[in-house]
Amino acid sequence: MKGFGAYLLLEMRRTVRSVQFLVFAIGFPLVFYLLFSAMFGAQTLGTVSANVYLMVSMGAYGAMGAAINANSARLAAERTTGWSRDLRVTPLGIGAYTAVKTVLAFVLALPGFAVVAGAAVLVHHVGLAAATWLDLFALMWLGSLPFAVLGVLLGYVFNAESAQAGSMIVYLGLALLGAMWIPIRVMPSTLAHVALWLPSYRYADLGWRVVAGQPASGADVAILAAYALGMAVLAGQLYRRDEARNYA
Amino acid sequence: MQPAVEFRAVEKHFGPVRAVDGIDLSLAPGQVVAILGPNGAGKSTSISLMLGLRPPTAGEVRILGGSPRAAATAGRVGAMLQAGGLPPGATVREIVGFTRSLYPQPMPLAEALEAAGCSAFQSRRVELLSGGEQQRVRFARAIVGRPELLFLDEPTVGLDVETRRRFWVSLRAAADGRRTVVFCTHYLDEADSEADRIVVVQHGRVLADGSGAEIKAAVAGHTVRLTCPRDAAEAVASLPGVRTAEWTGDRVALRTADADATVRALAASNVQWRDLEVGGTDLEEAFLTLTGSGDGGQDA
Repeated sequence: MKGFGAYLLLEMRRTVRSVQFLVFAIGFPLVFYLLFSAMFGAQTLGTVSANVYLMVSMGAYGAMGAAINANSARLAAERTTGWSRDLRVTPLGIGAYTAVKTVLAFVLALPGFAVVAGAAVLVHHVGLAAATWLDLFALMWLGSLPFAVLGVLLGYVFNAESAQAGSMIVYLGLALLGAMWIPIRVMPSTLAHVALWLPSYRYADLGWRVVAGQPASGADVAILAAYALGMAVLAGQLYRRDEARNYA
Repeated sequence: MQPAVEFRAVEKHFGPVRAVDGIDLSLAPGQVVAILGPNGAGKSTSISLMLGLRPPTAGEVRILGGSPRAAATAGRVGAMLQAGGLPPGATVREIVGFTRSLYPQPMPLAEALEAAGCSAFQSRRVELLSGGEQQRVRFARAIVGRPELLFLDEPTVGLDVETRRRFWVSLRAAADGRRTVVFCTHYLDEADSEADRIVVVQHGRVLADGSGAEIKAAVAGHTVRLTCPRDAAEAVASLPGVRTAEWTGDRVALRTADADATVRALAASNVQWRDLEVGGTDLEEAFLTLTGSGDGGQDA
């Protein structure tokens, strides 16, 4: 696929210049982290200091926001304005568009997490063993893949008008119900049961386990993988529906 | 020589609508061809078939001797489609440069920007540009890959007269007499002045095909005006060559394909006529006659 790298670079430049993207992927998670850690930083959850626990929560929230917001509304708009159609008549071809979009979201999830981690180190002098940092970053990056797929999926679920609000509801809903803002142990038990089945909770749980020194959970990995796969299949169907409408 | 574009009995249906309803067409390389027709005539659908954006329902479309998709993938075609949205957040230079990187033998970036008239605002983000400026960026994208075949779907729609004029000047320079250019328009003057060949379409069919002069000569070549009683309406409308008759009081304008035959038959008839005038017709009249006849079920 000629031009894959060039297109990815163009998309990255565009995305990091977007105010909406910066606010949701970087701004909010950072501000929430600083706010929550100022309020609860002195506490501990189990063996983990709240500064560290919140770093994982808000870092996961940021990475998820970056992965979803890199696409969703933007992709829905591009389907309407004709940009994705214009690309089809170039040698870039049909397949590259959604592939680039997914990779883009996945790549941008990393800085989403890193910014909050950086604030934790600089502001609260959070220190972890080098191997723990490595595990944490690797898991938080790889674990963001379902949300990269989700961003593409939402871009096909919604149209240009509904995409902004629709993807915001999904994104904030996942953060709230996925125990990113409120620890699961203080959630009402019904909601806590919902959280256990959400990719957002399972994603943050990957990181919470690392910083607590617990082994990785098979359930976390299995549920995230199932979401990634299921949403990819669904996105594929919606993509074909879009093809049948506009290119058949 | 292999045709640049070839349609063989092409049809494209959307449910019950026959957007393209049996078109045969062969466009030679190096020509500038206008596809002229009113809205909904099947112009844009024809272009999307040529680009491989949609497959035909029936018939065959060949571009530069192969499939439309093969031609696009090989970087042999460039296109400027209607309502082509430029992605916000990127600069003119970035977008045209990215497009350039996709093609095997592109022109230098600066040359493309200059040819399309984008040099002055190449560092600006596209969402900050005016409609006319965005149109120029889309034109730069279409030509930067040095395609053999260039498709332009209503390229000057919404542009002011001066910008339109400048656009055609830069297109002629970019086409440099070697590239094939196919453009859709519903501006008759544009088709007449810019194209070597005009294909008039209506209801998904080709109504006329030829140079501007040929189309003017072949169809509704003249208008015969005369004054006579209204009760002769049927008699004058059925004179040989007459396609349409328009009455204003007791004066009638007959659009005729053969003014000589019409006038000869009129003289031989017993219609009480006076104040005869015979005039030529411009392309606009020819076009109206053509597309009007498409509705009226006459031969086309």
